Amino acid sequence: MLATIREKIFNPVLFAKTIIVLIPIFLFLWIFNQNFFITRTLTYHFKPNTKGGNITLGERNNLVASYNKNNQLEWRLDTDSLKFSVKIPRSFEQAKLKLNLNNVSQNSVTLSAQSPENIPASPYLADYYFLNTLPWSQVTDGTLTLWQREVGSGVKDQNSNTNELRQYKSIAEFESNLPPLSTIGVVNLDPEGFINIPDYKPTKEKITIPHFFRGSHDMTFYAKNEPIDIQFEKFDLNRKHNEDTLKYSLIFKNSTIASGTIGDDGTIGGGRLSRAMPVNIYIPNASPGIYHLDIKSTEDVIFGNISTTQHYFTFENSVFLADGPAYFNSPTFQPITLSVLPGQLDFNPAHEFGLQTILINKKKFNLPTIKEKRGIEVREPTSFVVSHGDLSIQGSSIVIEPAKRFPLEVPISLPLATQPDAREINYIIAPYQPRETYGPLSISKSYELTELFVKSKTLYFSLNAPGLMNTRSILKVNDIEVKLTRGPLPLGKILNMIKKPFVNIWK
Amino acid sequence: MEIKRYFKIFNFPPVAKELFSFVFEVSLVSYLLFYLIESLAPQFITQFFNLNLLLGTTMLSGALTVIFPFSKKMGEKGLHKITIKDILVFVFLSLISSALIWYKIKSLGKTAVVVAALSGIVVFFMSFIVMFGDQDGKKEDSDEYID
Repeated sequence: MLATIREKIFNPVLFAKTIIVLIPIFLFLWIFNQNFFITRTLTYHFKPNTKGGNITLGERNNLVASYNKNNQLEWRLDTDSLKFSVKIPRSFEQAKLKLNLNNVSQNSVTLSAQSPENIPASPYLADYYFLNTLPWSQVTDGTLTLWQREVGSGVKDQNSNTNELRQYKSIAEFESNLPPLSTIGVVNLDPEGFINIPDYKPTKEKITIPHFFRGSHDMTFYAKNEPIDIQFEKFDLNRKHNEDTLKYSLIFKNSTIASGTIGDDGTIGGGRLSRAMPVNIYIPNASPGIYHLDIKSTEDVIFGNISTTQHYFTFENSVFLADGPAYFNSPTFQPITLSVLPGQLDFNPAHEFGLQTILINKKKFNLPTIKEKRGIEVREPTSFVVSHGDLSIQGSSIVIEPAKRFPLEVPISLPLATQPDAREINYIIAPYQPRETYGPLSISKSYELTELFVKSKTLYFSLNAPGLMNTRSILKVNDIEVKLTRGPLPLGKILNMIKKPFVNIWK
Repeated sequence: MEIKRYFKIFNFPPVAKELFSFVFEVSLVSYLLFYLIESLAPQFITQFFNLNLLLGTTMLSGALTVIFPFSKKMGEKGLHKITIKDILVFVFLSLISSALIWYKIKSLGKTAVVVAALSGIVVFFMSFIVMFGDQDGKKEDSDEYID
C-alpha cells in the first residue's frame, strides 16, 4: 500500500501531467485576478520594446534605442514628455509608480498624473540638477527643502538692512517670517501661495462691479481669515440653439473648495434674454491666500453685477465686457475704469456700440472696426477708461474698479527647462530632496484614487524632461512599474459580472 | 502512412508520446474553455493573454500526437464501450455548444434557435463518431506502431 502511494507520488509521468494540468489552471486564476483584482495588490511592468500589457505608451516614437559601450540596447527619451496610460481592472485605493531611469545629462525630471477636472495637475519634481549642485546651506522638513545663500555673501537683507542674510533654522520659521518675496525662488510651488498682505483688514463692506461679462472668465482674489462672500447674476442670451449653463469652481492651493452649476433658463434660441439667476458663493472662514474663481460657460451666457467682500479682485487675462443695448434694453453705458500689468493689451469690439477711442497713457487708441483685434504693448502698470463696455479685452491681470489689485510682488518661479539665473535670489524653496548628481534615478510616487483622472478604466501619466529636445540631453528609460492597491472587494458587483453572461443566455 | 513511417526515424520514447498526447488534450480543452469565456465576456482573456499562444501549443502538440501516436494498448486500456456517462457528457457538450452558438447569433431571432438546436444535434452525433466510430481501424493502427 505504502509502496503504491510512494510510487504514485514519485511517478515522474504523473508529476509531469499534474504540472501540465496546473499550468492552464494557474493561467486562468491569474487572468481572473487581473480582471477582478482579488489579491491585495496588482503590479504591471513596462520595459521599452515590449508590449507592456496594461501600460501603454502615448507615442512609441518618443523612445529611441541605441547601443551602449557593452553593446546592450538602451532606450532614451527623445521628446520633452513621455505620455503613458495604465489600464486598470477596477477601482482601487492607491497607485504607486516606480520608474527606473538613468539621467545622463538632463537638467530636470518631473512626473505628472492627469488629475480630475477642476483640480490642476501639479507635477512631482523627481530630479533637478541645479538644486542637486547648489552649494547653499539647506534646511528641510522632509517635504520642503529651503536653500539659503551663505551668511556674509555680500547680498543685503532688505528686512534687517545689514550685510548679512538671515539664516532660517526651519521651514516653519521661514514660512512665518518670509523675507522680501522678490528674493525668494520657488520650484514646483505656486508663487501666489506666498502672498500675504500683512496689513490686510477683512471687511464686511461689499464692493460691486456693476458690469456684465460674456462667456468663460478666470478671476483671482485675496482673502484672509474672513468669509468668502461673492454674489453675481447669470443671464441666458438664448441666441444659439444650445443649453446655456454656467459652471463655477473656487480653487485654493490647487484644490477645488466649492463648485456649482447654474442651469439653462428653459428657453433654447429665440434671442430673448432670460431673467436674472442669482449665484451665491459663501465659505465661512477662508485661510489666508490667493483664491481662483473659474467660470466656464458658452458665449450665450452673460454674468455680472459681482458683489463681494473681497476687495482685492482681478480678472486673470481677459474680460469680455457685455454692457449696453446689444445685451440689455437699457441703452446706457457706464464708463469702466480698468488697469493692467505690463504686457500686450488687445481690444476687440463685439458690436458697433463698442467702437470708440480709448485714452491709454495720454495717447488716443482708436477702435474703428467691429470684430477686428487691435493691440498695444504697455510697459508699466496702466489704467484706462472704456466708455462703451461692448468689447473684449486681453491683457495681463485686469482689475476693474472699484476692485483693487493685490500686491504685485511674488516669489520668482525658477525654470525647469533651463539653468536658472539665481543672482537676485537669496532663498529657494521646493518640495524636493536633493540627490547626487547625474546617474541612475529611481522615481517612486504614490497617488490616491481621488487625485487621478480615470476614463474608460484608464489612468494617464507623463514623464517630463523639460527642455530635453533643445538641449539634446540624455535621459534613459529602463522600466516603468505601476502597483495598484485595491480597496474592499465589491463582492456583489463581481458576482453580478460573473452572472451576467449566464443570465443573458437564460433570457 | 508513408509520412508516419518517415517520422519513425525521430522516434520518441513512449513516455514522451504519452506526454505529447496529454499536452494536446489539456491545451485543446483549455483553449476551447478560454475561447468560450472570451466569447461570453470579450477581452476577459485576450486583454491579458494572447490566445494564439495556446492555439500554437495545441497545434504543435496535436501534430506531434498524430505523428508519434501514443497507443493506449501500451498503457492500460483497450477499446471503449459506450456508457451512460459518455452519453451524458455528449449531451452536456451539445447543450453547451448549442447555447454558445445561439448566444453568438441570437440577433437572428427564431432562426438562431433552429440553427443552435441543429448544431447541438450535429455535435452530439459527431461526438459518437469521433469517440467510437473507427475503433477497429485504430486498433489496427495501434498494433502496427507498438514500440
